Amino acid sequence: MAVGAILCGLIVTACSSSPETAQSTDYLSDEWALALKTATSDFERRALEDGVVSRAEYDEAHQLWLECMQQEFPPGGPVQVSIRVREQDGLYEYVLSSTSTEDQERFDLWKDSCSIGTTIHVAFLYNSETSNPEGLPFAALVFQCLDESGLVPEGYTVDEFMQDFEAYANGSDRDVPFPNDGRHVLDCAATV
Amino acid sequence: MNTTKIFAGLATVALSASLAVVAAVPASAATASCKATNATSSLSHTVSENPSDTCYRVQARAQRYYPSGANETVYGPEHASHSTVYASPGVSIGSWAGRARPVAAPGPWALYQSFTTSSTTKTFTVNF
Repeated sequence: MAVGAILCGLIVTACSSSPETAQSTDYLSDEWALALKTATSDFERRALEDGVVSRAEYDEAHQLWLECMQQEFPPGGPVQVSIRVREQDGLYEYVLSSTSTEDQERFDLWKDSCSIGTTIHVAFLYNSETSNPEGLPFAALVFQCLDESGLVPEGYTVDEFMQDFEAYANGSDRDVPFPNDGRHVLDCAATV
Repeated sequence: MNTTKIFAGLATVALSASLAVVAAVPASAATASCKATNATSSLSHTVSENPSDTCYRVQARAQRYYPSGANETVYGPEHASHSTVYASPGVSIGSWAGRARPVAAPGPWALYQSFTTSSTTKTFTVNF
């Protein structure tokens, strides 16, 4: 928090709200501090120094990651790696043109290695802060969605929902005061 | 006197070394358990982290199949609380898995563990 607060204090204009950027928030303050301390590339240091990860920096991180991955999975080769922007949330997904266990294990090894200096901090901070700026637990995000759709009764609290949701997710058949046919909850789960 | 001092010095060195070993061994052999939950529909698979435990990054992985017969492996973005992979009408998701990472940064990732329709939770164990 301290790092983010200091940076926001120094760069007030950069910390104004914008859906196109991610900025320091309390729940990720340790992650921001760690990122600033352990950045290993000029790109990372530049992307993080103002306390904001812009969309352009998020894009650049993935391009650098892809260039690294293509050393092991060259374009035109038998197994290829690509990145795609998802319609649902505008975030990148990684795609491996194979479903073999051997290729997945090789991908995992390189994926994590190539993320150092590129996406490891920048993408995580952008992902988390643009999709969940308050750092809410997953169940609380689902509750917000159901509530906005008018699917939870008045007076039903997020804490009560989180307990019911955990039971629901664990297969319990106890009565819950929200639509329990699975569809609404899953629809919300897919959108948060 | 000198002998006593020497022994005291050696004992201090030995104690320091022991403490260093004691401090190092648990760190290298420590494990963390991350409990994750899944939510699955025909078009999306989400793995979410239990906020009460000591993990915070999650990632979902799935095999995606196209009507043409092509298939691929897709990896969802890393989030603090959850990660989702998507299909689309006509495009299906086959087997899928999730992994998690402990708060003790920069802790390593757990290996991917598969979810099935009958399993809603997984406990990922991470060695670090």
